[in-house]
Amino acid sequence: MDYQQKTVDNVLVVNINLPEASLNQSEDFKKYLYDVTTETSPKLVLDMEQIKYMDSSFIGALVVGLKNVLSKGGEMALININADVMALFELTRLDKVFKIYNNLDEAILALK
Amino acid sequence: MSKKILLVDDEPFQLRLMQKVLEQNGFEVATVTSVKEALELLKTNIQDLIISDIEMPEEDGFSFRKKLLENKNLKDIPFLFHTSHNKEILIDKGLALKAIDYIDKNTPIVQLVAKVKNILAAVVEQKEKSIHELKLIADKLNLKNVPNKKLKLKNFEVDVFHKTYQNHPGGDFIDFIKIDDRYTFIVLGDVMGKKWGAWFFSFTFLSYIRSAIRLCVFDGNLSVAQIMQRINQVIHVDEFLEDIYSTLSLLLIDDETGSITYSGASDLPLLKYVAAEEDIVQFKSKGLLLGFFKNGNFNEQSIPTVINDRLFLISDGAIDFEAKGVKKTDLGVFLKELKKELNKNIVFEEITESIFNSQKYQVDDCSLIQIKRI
Repeated sequence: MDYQQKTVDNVLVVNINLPEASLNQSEDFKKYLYDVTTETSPKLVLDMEQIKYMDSSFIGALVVGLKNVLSKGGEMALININADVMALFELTRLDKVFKIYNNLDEAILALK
Repeated sequence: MSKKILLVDDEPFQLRLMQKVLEQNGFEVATVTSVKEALELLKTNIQDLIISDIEMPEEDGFSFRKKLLENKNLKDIPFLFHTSHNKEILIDKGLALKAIDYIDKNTPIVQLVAKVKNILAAVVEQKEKSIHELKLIADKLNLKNVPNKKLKLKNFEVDVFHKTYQNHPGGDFIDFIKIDDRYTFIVLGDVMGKKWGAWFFSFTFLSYIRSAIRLCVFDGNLSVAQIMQRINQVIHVDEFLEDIYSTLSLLLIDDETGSITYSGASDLPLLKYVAAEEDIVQFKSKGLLLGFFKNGNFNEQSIPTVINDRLFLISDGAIDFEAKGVKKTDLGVFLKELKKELNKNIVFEEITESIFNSQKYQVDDCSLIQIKRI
């Protein structure tokens, strides 16, 4: 499976198993994010450790997912972002749009 | 890239035989022995063609086909029935379920491979035909999201390089908006997403940007940061663009004083090649993705220029690279290449030809705008 989920302290943690996160998966991923955040005030952590390359379609899907979570009064955080992907996030100021933490413990502490 | 075929048959021998032959012919073949497994696999692995047996113990091929037709992600995958029952009623039922064709299990294997190749070639041909027709219509309507000629001002020359990805239009959009003999705006945006979907929305963004610029100018406002915020405000409240985001670089050229002001929304840095120092300086903007927040936090930078300085605006497609099978988005690599070319003191066309050659990895449309002080 491309996405594995578990719950830690009432926070849904999703591991994204995609070395290349791009156009081919972005629609599917957007739908997945909608499906797992149907409740009110959803709390979601996306573990990006496996992602080595991300294109703008996939970033678009992440942004849409975040907006959906925020509109429900929820929170979403990203963890374990690869250095190259992080460089792109910083270049385009997306590090100011998303909550980003180094690891799961930090994210859970901030969200729970 | 080889085409992917999914084989569904409850008989393992039949599966292995077909898999071997199709793989020998260059196809990537996945095999499953039940409809349940097939649907599970298709959740994460979309195929180019499905070949399914009809009679299977738990769930038959007709039921499988019906389920595929109900799923919008799967309904358009070409589908073939593979059956040993050459009974007309079965075949009629199958074709009524929009299966492209059926193959008799007694068909010699050479013919089966030929049929599969024909079907996949026909699908590609049909797709290309549709794209060609769409392009013709877009041309007729004069729908262009990139200018087709360079801009010549008194003190500046503006050149555009834009390359589509595999001949599909994309989300990059560029515009020159000349207000009068003194002021000209340069716009570079990139709608997140790819191909036709992004291309379609680029026109909505362009319309908003053009009108916001004109309205601000009418009000005597020439601040690029404030114009950005106006654009951001309208896009933020537009429900039509609710799930669509775009980056934007906005630049105002004052052709009298030679000064340039710049503001950006989640765009890549503006690059300035200082001819005297043979070096590239980056100007990073602060603004966030257009429309995401009510206030996009846009800043404005004034960029002085002297003769022979060149400024560059780029879209993210320009900085994708691939080395040893690993894809990477790397501004540093692009900067190095650009600097190397610029130091040769060659013209814009030669620079782009050298950087965006056939070896350059490309997954997206990419754009580069050069503004040269003359």
